[in-house]
Amino acid sequence: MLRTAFDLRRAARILAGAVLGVGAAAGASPAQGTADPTAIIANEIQVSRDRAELKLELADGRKVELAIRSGYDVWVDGKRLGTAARGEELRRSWRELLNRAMDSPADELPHLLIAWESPDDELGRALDRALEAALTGQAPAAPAAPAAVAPAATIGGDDWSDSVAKLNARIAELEKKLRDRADAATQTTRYVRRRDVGWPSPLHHIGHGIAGVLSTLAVYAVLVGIGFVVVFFGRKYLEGVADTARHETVRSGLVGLAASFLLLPGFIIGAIALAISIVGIPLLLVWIPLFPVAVVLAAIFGYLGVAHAAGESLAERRFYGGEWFKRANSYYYVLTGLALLLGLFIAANVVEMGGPWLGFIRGMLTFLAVVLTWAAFTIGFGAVLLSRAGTKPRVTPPPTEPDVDIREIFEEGSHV
Amino acid sequence: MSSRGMILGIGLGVVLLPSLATAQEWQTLTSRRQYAGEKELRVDVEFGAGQIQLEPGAAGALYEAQIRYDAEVFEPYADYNAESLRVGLKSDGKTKKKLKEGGRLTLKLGPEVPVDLNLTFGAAEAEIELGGVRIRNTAIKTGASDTKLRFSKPNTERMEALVLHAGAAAIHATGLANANAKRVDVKGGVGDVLLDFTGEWRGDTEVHIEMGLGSLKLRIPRGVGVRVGKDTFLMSFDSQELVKRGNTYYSTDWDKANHRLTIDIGGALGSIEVQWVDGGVRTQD
Repeated sequence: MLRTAFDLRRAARILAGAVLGVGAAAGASPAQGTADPTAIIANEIQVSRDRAELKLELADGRKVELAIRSGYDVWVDGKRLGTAARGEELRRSWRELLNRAMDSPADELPHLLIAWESPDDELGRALDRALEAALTGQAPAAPAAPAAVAPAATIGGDDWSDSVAKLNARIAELEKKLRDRADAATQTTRYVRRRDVGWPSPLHHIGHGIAGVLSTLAVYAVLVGIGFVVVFFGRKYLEGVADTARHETVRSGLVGLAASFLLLPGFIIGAIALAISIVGIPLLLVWIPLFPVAVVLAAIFGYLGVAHAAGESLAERRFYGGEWFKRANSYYYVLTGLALLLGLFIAANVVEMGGPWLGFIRGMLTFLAVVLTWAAFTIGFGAVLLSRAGTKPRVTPPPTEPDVDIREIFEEGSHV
Repeated sequence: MSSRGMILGIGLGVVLLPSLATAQEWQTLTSRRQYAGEKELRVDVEFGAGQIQLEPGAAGALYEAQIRYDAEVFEPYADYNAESLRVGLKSDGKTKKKLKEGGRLTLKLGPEVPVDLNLTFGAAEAEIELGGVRIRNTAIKTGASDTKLRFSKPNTERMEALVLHAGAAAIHATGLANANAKRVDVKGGVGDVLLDFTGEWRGDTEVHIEMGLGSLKLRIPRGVGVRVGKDTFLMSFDSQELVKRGNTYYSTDWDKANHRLTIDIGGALGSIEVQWVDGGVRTQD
């Protein structure tokens, strides 16, 4: 009730202001429809949930800004005229106008804007008049704002009217805050409800799965890149490690396992040994940073060697004859071998997209993938050590010829 | 759907899917200006993620921009001052909200004014039609994007340089003869690049290409003299109908051709393919 009363008073003041301020323009409105509108040089329109703004730059150099912001607040040239009483209707109509204006050809825009009729709302009519006045050039748009607000002083003529205006502004401000907080509360409630209920979002799982697949593919791409570089610059050594891993798999695994246990003690003992010998102290500066780097490089090199071996083994099974020769190269081996080694991770991520009910299978696949990766690193590391980084590959020698003395055969023949 | 499109789709999906549940505040900004005797127009566009459409505007228009964006993440701008237009989206960098869906920018450039265009965008799908726009310079810099650049009509200005820089992207540039460019610079990190030199030839063009990893397809109309020099590493070159002289490949009509296309290619890991197009060349009468 209180609010309604204020709005009625405001409407009365604004009506009076509008009559006094733009009376001439309003009285001449039929004539305005026929007048040629001022050309619009530039316009900017912004429409959002709580804002609908129109900025015009006119051919005579004037700039006009008309807007409805924060719900139902009407603004003209940076001045707030007030809050519309029948705000929703005005807001809808104004937004429709601006949406049409966005799509309208430039030459039709002035006519479209002039043709707009505001809903039956005093502030809306003030906005309409300001727009028409700006476009027809018959009255400056800027005075529309003071005209609508000015009557507060003439009607009231004292501090009371000013207080009411301030009170109205304050009410509008509080209403806006209330709306904002209501929105925030609604969002929070939704979030809490969703979290508490634990709704199994399928998108969540799909998102996780896709992210997992992409991250595995990224790792794959990086390893392939490193592998290609290694093949290009050191194919012989990589093949040496691969052959060792392939032909001495168990031994490589055991060596790798033992080495992984001895790494830390070896590092510490080496550091102590260097530290206590005067000659070794300068070497300590190299030992400490380079030992971990060498171990990591050896592990990656070994892993790539295992991938190469796996790829080679696969190629031998898949391709025969000319096809084999066509496909058989170290790039291809590394590419396919890494795919084999990382395939289980991809499979686990794909299964994850199926939802929580496939969690067991996903867990198993992830476990197997981790075990396979660990085994590949261990065997590879061992193969690197056994083959001296591929320089002395351990390859099972091919079956030897039977130990027959040819001379004996010929001698036997000569006796015949 | 091509593998490239699929990768882009998956990438966008990863960005979009996890946070579909929360609301976005979509806003639209349009800004347009009529031609008023401007001598030139410099256009700077910066756009993060989403869709970009650039096309010729109607006669009498200087430019028209429309931006649809998430107001909780970005703030748009369309500032015109002294024959210079800056349009795009900026972020304060403080918001922690994830980007759920990219925005959309549509920019139309009027046919009356010579334009220097600088277009920078991130993960976006770009459809750029510059046929009918008077273009003096073009620089397109993009991150991970799918960019289609077309010159469907001849450019009446002689373009100084057309620069295409891309990170991981697919760039399809067609009708490049219509661009009427003196020089074309292409730098690509990873991706697939198509340069189609069909259209109306008005002058010779120099092309410099630097590719990281990916495929490069050159579509060249018969009748244009072509010289290809390459400094590549692990990059296959399908040099159809080109003759090698020294370290350079030439088309058989290089010495007699009215218009010449000089291409220098540098790159590693990938492929270069030359495709010849019949009747794809027109010369100015």
